[in-house]
Amino acid sequence: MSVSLAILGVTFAVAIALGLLAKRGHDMTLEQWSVGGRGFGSLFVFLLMAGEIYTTFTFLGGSGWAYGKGAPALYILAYLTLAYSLSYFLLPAIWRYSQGRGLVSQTDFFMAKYESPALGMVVSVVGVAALIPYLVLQLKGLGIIVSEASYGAIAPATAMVGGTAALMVYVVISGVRGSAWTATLKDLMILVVVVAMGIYLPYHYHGGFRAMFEAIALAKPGFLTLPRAGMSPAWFISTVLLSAVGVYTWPQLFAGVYTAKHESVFRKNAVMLPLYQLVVLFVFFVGFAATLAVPGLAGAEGDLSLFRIAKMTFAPWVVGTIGGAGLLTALVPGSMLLITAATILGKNIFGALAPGRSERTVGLVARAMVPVLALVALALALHGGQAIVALLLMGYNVVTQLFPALVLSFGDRPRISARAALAGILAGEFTVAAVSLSGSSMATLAPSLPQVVKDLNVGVVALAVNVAVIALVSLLTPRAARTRAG
Amino acid sequence: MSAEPSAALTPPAPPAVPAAPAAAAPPPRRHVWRAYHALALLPALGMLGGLPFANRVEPLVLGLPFLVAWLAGWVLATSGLMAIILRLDRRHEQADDAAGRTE
Repeated sequence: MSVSLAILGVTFAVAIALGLLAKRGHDMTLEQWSVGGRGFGSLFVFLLMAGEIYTTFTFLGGSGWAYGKGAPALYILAYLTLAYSLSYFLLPAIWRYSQGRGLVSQTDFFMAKYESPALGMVVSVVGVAALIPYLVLQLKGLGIIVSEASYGAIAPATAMVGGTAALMVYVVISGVRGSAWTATLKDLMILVVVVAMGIYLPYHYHGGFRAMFEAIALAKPGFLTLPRAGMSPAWFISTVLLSAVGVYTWPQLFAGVYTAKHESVFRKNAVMLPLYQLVVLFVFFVGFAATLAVPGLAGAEGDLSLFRIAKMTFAPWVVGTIGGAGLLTALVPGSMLLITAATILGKNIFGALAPGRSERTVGLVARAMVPVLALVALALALHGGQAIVALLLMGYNVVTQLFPALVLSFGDRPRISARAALAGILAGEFTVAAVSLSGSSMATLAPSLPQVVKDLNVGVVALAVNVAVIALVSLLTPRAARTRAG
Repeated sequence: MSAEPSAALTPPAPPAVPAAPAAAAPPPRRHVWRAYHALALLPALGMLGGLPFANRVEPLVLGLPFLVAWLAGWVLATSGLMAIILRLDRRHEQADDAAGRTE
């Protein structure tokens, strides 16, 4: 036990040290702090992009879904793959536009494209509203990981407080450079840990993959395919498509794009990232192995399945190493989320409310926002109950509403007016809120329609409303007003 | 691999956006849609369109349930398809650059 604790401690210390060392030789202007002076090469951009996708959600949630739900968990593998094929075209376009314009946030991009401060403010609020629950989730995941891997020696709350403190320090000092450096350590550890577990556990408990899946198919008929109703193929397809277009509407991934030195990075990444994310498959194998080995975890407890099976199978030093890797899956994405939210608050919200401040002041305000955001997230993680889960489920649908306006902004000038974009986003967000807060699903909204429609992800409705409003406003706006820039 | 980035950074045209503060940044290459870019749609069509057929356990492929193997196979195929697109794009860009320099 003390061995696992020691390994956790060392990982934590190394992560902070790397985060702090990353600053060396760099003057932390806002541009350095938020987007690394736009000087990151292939490896760092690759790790930042991959690293933000391998979060505690993938580590705990991926195995938890495979454990509790079976085949529907595979949607994670599918949507990430499609997101990467989209990224080949989308990210270079975002990057090219950011060049020479000094963009550091997602809001900057929308403001520059649509030349509308009102739209910028809405994009800022949407971004921060989606980022905070995501950050809360990382802290909660960190609490679970540390308490499980330390065999209960460290309480989740203690772990969350410690993790938040570490995040604050290295994020304020090193910004995105700290994230990139710790991402390197994180990806190495995750890769080794997940692949080793995903191969070892099926062999240890069943003698191989074939035997394991045959045993699962026998014990739980239907577990390894999508059900006919509920999480059916219709659910799978709609969820995969919605999530795939949603990935690059997350503000932290936008900021990740700006860190690149050259656009060719994104095209190479689109080739490499699908292969790299096959690691997720091994996370599923862990969850599948756990369904038979450690049965009985219900609902959200499924997220603990990875650690439960690990503790039952491995020596404490292995559990400590798994915990160390898990710790990093919370810290690295957590740091990017913090930097991004702080940049939006400092530059786009403070900057808009108090115009005419110097770049230096804006940079200082952004960094001062880090502890504020971190403490808010910590408070929500410690005291927030189910509300957080509801918010988080909304988060993905919330950012996805930016997708139509993003895609329609490409070209010499946006294909729609700022007014249409704004109306579409607002209509989409109200729909997301109404649907989420009322707990609606397609089955409750359209009980008489066929099962295929009832199983559709309800996020489809919000996106459809969004696009319909964009079309309507565009039709009603005189053409002259539309083509006149700003 | 290291040759193209520098080639891409030196197109002949002046900056298209005079209002941009840093005119020193070279105007980046514009995206051109080409027919083979449609290959990027295949993963979506295969992964999702194939579901009615692929949503089964048997036959196991390399010990994996058929659905798992189907999706994993498409992940590999996606990487391959994107590599083909990248290679073709680079070939076109090199040809364009060569043509641009003789102007």
